[in-house]
Amino acid sequence: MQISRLRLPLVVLAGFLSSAIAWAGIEDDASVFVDEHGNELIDILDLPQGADRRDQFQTWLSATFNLESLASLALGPYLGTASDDQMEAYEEAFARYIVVTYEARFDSFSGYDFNVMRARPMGDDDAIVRTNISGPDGTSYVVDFRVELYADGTFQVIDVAVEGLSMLKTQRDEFSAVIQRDGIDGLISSLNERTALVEASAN
Amino acid sequence: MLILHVKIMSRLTRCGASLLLIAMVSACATAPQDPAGQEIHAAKNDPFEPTNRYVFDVNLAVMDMAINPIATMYREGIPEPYRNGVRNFLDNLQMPVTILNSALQGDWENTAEASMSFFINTTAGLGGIFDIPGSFDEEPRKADFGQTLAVWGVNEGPYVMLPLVGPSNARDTVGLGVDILTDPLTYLLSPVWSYARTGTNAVAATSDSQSQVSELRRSSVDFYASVRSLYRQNREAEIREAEGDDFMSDDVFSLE
Repeated sequence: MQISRLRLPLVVLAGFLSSAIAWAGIEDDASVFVDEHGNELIDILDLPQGADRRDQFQTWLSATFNLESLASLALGPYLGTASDDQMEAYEEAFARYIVVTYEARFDSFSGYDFNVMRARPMGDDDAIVRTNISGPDGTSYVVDFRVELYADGTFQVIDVAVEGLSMLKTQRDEFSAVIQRDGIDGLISSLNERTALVEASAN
Repeated sequence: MLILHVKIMSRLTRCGASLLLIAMVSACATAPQDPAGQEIHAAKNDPFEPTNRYVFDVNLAVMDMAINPIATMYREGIPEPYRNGVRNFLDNLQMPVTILNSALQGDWENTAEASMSFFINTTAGLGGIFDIPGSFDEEPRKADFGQTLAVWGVNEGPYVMLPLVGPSNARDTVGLGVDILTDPLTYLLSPVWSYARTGTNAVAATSDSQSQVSELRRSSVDFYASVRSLYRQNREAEIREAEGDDFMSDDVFSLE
């Protein structure tokens, strides 16, 4: 009896303290997350071209990015207008499109160096982590990651901005233009078409 | 990476502002009826979209037929150190415009950096061929009159696709005209040398970013809309920098 009466406030206090620590440190935890995943990518890109590099890149991409969230955000104001069936087909097409096109985009990247510079919180469960990526030819880019903290304490990336150019914003503007002209179904078939085109040119 | 695509499209060539008239004439996009469509219509700021898309297609055709093949030969035929020399030389020629506009924007640090770099590169760097690192940590940022107008509070105005020049807006088109008029070389070079400078600029810039642009073009579901979005974001980032704001701002990620 005595013990449990003592234990309860302790548990509450501990819980309060740990959540306060987690809140205060969101940018630090986010930096650690970006640092780990960024360096993982640099190692993967240094692998020789081939099936192994492709597989590892795909695994990395789905662990690092919240593709479902990205898919929804990329629809912008059209998010609520898609039916369940359309949404399912779209999410599937989107995930494949991202994996295939980003793989192609990173095709020639190797020998890069990656450093986390600083981070700051953006709201309660979002943070922006600024990094610097420098290439073997002396070029360097400022790359900002927007990471989201989930209830289970894990992070995932929901946007990347290269020199101030946001991937999500660009995609949303591009997708909106297609939906306005050809509807959601038109976007799904365009995504599938592009995926096939990029895949064909990679082989 | 991505920033290069926009830069090459926007600084493809420098030509007379009279070409703006062509882009302004005719076809306006009609506003859609549904709420989501209306929101997008307002956000994309592109009332001349049908004409702009047509000009964009023509620009791409010119790129494919004339500039890309030359840029490929240039990259494959000329060793990198020489190409770097050409780039440095051409970049150095843009410094007077950067110096003037940094001052007009009240950015004294960049004015000093650009002046110093122009002086050192023109003298010790033999006309800018060799990029001599200055006493400053960073390279000066490029400044133009479109940015200056933005810093002074002028809105971007409608988006326009300029023939041969690439993506712009009403404000930046006026800026481009002023940049040409305030560039000392406009008065010093004969027309032949002006064209040579413009052409070499286009080829050198294209050769740097060719593979990334073609990758973006291949993977885009709407390349025109991608370029429009990227141009706007790039200008916004440059203007934030001109205003002394760090571009690690919420604006980069805000989806408004």
